[in-house]
Amino acid sequence: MKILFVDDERDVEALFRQKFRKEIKSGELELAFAFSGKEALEILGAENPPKFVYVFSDINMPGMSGLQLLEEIKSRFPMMRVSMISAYGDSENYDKAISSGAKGFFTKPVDFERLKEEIAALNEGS
Amino acid sequence: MKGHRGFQMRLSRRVGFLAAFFNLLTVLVSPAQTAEGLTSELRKFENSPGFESDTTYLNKANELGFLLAESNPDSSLVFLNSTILLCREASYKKGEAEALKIYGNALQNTGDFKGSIEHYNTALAIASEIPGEKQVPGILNNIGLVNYYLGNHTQALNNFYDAIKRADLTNNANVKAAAINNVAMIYFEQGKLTEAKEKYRETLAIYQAINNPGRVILAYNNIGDVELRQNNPLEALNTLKIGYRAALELKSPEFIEMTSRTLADIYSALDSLDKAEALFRESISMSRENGYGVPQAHSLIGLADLYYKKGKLAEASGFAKEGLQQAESMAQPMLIRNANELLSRIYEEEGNFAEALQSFKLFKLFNDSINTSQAQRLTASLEAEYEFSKRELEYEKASLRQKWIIFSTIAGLIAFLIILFVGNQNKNRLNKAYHALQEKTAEIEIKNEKLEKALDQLKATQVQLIHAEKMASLGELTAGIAHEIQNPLNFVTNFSELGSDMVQELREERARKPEEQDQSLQDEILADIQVNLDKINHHGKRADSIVKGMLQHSRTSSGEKLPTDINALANEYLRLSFHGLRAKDKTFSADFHTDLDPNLPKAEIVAQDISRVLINLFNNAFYACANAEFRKENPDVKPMVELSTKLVGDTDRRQIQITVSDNGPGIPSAIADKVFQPFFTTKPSGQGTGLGLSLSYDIVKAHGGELKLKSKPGELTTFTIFLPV
Ligand SMILES: [Mg+2]
Repeated sequence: MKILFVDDERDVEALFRQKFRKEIKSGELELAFAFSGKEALEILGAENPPKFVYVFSDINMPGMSGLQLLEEIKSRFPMMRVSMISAYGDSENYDKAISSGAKGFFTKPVDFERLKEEIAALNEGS
Repeated sequence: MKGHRGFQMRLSRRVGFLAAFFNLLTVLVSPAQTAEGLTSELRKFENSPGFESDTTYLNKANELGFLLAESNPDSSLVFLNSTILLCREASYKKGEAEALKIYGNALQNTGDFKGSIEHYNTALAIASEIPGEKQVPGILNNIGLVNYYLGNHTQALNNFYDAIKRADLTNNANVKAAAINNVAMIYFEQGKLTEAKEKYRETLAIYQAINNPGRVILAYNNIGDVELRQNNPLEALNTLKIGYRAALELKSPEFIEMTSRTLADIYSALDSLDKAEALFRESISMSRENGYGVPQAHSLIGLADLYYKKGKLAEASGFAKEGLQQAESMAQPMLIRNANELLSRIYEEEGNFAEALQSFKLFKLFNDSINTSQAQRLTASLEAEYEFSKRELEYEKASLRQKWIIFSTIAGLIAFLIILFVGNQNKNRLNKAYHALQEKTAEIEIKNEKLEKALDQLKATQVQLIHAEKMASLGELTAGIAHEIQNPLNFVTNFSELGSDMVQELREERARKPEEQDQSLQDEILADIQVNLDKINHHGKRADSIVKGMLQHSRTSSGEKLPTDINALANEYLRLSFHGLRAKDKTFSADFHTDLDPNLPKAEIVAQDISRVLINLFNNAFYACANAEFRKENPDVKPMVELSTKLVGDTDRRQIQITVSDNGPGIPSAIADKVFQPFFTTKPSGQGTGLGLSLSYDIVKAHGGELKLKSKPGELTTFTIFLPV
């Protein structure tokens, strides 16, 4: 199961790789990281349809913002699951994300348990 | 309104026309000479041997050079240079000073003010060596004019003042009048009409005394101008009638055109529309015939206004458009503004609201820029006036003292004689004189105090404005700061959580039987814990430096320069600016890119000052390329701000170059040289103090560096900071 994380902060990679160390080791999960919206689209567009089952994206990034990325992904790959992870949990961001088709909305610092549950639910569903 | 407008228009003519005029003054020895006549006279000389050192020849060459410098400044330089060298070889000091001054005139006419002043100063040095120092006042007056054009009012008034004093000493009435005229010009610009009129009257008296009919007309014209601006059209009418009549007698097209134009303004203010029309038409036809571009534009707009008053909109519109076109080709902002204002009223009355709005927008644009530059000039002239008055008072005091010495000597003598006859009389007289002097001194002191107070207020206001600017830029920062602290704190939270998990896992692993323990897993967990601790440390420091930076920004600068990593500083503030704008405006979207030279040495700077410069440049850059209006009009442009650093220059003079570019609309060259002036802003009112770039400029200068602007409208804008290493 491939999951893509998008964030302009590079340390996000170390964070999630550690958190999901066991799952990665067992081959249950495969993680990829993009550090801008543009890079995320390149990674997703490399295969059609993409092998990824879920995208988690930051909102506040230079260049394309996470909300713009969300719209772009939804127009290109309408079935792709996308959730936002942002330091700004205000209603304006939340409403915009949900109305643009985001599956979930997580605030930073990340609640790992909620995130794990969300990913675990994927397995049950599939 | 009408009178006021007339005056501002007159002012630009006054500056352009009179200044050129008063440059000439001291040299006009034989007035009716033509360049052709002088050239042929010089040819004749050149047939006799040793002509190069003949002072008559050299004087003639200067006369020709003078005419060439006015008519064809660019190509005159070669000839002027040869005259300078000939005079130098002939050790003809007077001729050399004159030739250098004329060279300065030519440079001034080409717009090279710096070179002009240099040549005037050399001329001044030589002229001061010659007994009598006859040329000194004229040169001082010319230096004053250049300073005036450069906006150095203090300097200019000081120069004029010296010129007047020196002209007095050498009985040079022409130069004295010219310099007084220039002082009047500045008073006029400051709106000190009573003083301006008084000074113009002084010039009138001088020109009458030395019987110079042209300048007498000019003086009447200027006095009438002032009276019209003082809302005394009837008085102005009387004054101008004298001037106009004299101009007709003199048969000089220049003066006839000038006085008829002023007269037309006066009649227009008096609502004598027919008379005004006839005079405007006279001015227009004379201007057309003789190529007086600015006067023509003025009178066309004046005529259009008359027709508008009469309700004849078609004619009004025709003349206004023609006037506007003429004003645009002569690059006269005041006239362009007035023409657009009139046109918007005409269009409105015609029911053409789209055009009316268009003209009104243009009117507003020019009006704003004129008002801004006037406010700046006023601030500058207030300080200038203070300096000037101080010197005037000193002079008054000095001459009073002198008079007092002479008076008391004479009084002493008389007293000595009279004392034999009338015991007490002289004492009374002396007492009276003494009291008069005391009163005068007290008056001077009061005046002095008032001016000092005004200056203090001015300085206090300035301090307040600087403080306001600083607080405004801190306000713009707070949102960015919140974000930039939030991010590292999130990492601290998450990495420490992970750390606890790892410790827990390790404990569980070690609780197993020794033979079941996985050694490599334990090593892996320990390595991860180490990574986490490093990350926590790194992000903790990151938050720390943001907070320190913020405190530093709000603190008053200690002024101490410390070695600073420019790359880190610039990068930090770029992020602060970006996240600040992003947090304030959810729709804000822009990209940034950095290209930082890893080999940059540290620079000795006051970090909180330079950081203010940087935040200013970044905010401006993001605003320029990502503001809603620009994005709506240019949907294809991806807003992008680029920061780059580089080490430039020779090994003995290395500089750090910091560039901040944006791909916004660019800055039109017309306002490019204004962006560093205080109170200049293109943002909607209330959104910028207009001090940001001006303070930035001062800060960089104070570091011995430079702040430069380069812009290609429609493509990009680049601000470059140079800092010495
Ligand atoms: Mg981010």
